Amino acid sequence: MSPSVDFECLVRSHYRDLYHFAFSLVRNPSEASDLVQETFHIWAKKGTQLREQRSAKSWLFTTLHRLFLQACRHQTRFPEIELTEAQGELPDASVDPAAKLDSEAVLKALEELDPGHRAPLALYYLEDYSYREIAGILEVPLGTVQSRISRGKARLLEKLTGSPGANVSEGGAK
Amino acid sequence: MTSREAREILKTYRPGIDFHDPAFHEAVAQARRDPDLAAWVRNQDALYQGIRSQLKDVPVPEDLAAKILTSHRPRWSGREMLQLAAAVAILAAVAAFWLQERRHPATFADYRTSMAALVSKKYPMGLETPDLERARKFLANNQSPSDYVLPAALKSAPLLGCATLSWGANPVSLLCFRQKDGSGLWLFVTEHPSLRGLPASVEPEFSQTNGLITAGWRDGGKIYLMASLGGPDRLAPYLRE
Repeated sequence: MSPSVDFECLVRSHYRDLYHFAFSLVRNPSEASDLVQETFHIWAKKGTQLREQRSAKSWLFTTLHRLFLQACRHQTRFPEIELTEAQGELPDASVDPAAKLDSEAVLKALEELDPGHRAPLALYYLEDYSYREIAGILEVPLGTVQSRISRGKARLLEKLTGSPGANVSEGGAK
Repeated sequence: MTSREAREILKTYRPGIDFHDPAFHEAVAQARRDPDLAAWVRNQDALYQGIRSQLKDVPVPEDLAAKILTSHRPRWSGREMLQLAAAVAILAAVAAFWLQERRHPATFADYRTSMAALVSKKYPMGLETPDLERARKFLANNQSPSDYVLPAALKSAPLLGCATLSWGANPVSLLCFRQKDGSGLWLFVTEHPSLRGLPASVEPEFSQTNGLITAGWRDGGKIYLMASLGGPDRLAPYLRE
């Protein structure tokens, strides 16, 4: 298979997933498109030695995330917001919370998280990666990813349901 | 493990994805034993799926893939394009000559028509340079006539570049100049003593060919053909010694 076919195949296979990841990070269509294009641009320059599709996809996510972090470092509009260590319990959704969700609300809630929590949470929701794979993509220890997802999810649900530490109305496990 | 402990662990559990993760095995087993915990897991999963689908429903720009592919499609380099285009032009000229030769012996008029037709369309430049000596060297390196003598007046016209062509088995050098009004001025140089109807001397012979005015002359074993849009007055200023 020629490199050009590889590249086209790679783009068509992954650009949507990458865009969704990028959009969940920046919540801006043009910035997300730029991140995806820049990611593939870097691939075109030096990523062709990766022949395995799954490795390639992880590589693309890692590269896009690095670009995102670089952009964050250059933009003061992404202040680091430390989540408190004492998150307490994750908020529990009440009756059929999924039905009340809308894309805008989810993205807005995600955007309000600091970048360090946004990226693992986006991969957690968007992709079928294991925690270990997410850690590899984001280049952080497994424990860090686990805690960021846990805290990030707590904060996200809190924003979506507006109920920190709420109990499950239909009788959750006690 | 109690159900409460299991619930803490299962708060980040994704049933379809984390099933094989040993970190969740014990908690999942507890959920199988506790119907309330199982219901809570289902509720959490519904919430997870809801958020997931909302994030995945974000529309992707329709032209994004095309943009990426267009901007990174492997391209010919400029040099490769020139070489390819030159090769195509040479093959076309050879083919045209061969077909003509089969019908009747080549004449200077045939040559003139072919060359005029060539520059009437887009044609490839082998070397883009304003430097006459660089062009001469390029032509020499490509076994194309290079020991030509340019009319003195022509040397003052800005050179755009040159190309190596072939007409029949004979190499042809093409020098491209720009006239004051921006239009092109072309000079073909070849050696083809067997051509019939060659210009008799160094005195230019004018002819209208394919919408171009051409002037042909012979000098020192070389056959020169100059071409431009317009009438003879367009060539005259460049033919002066």
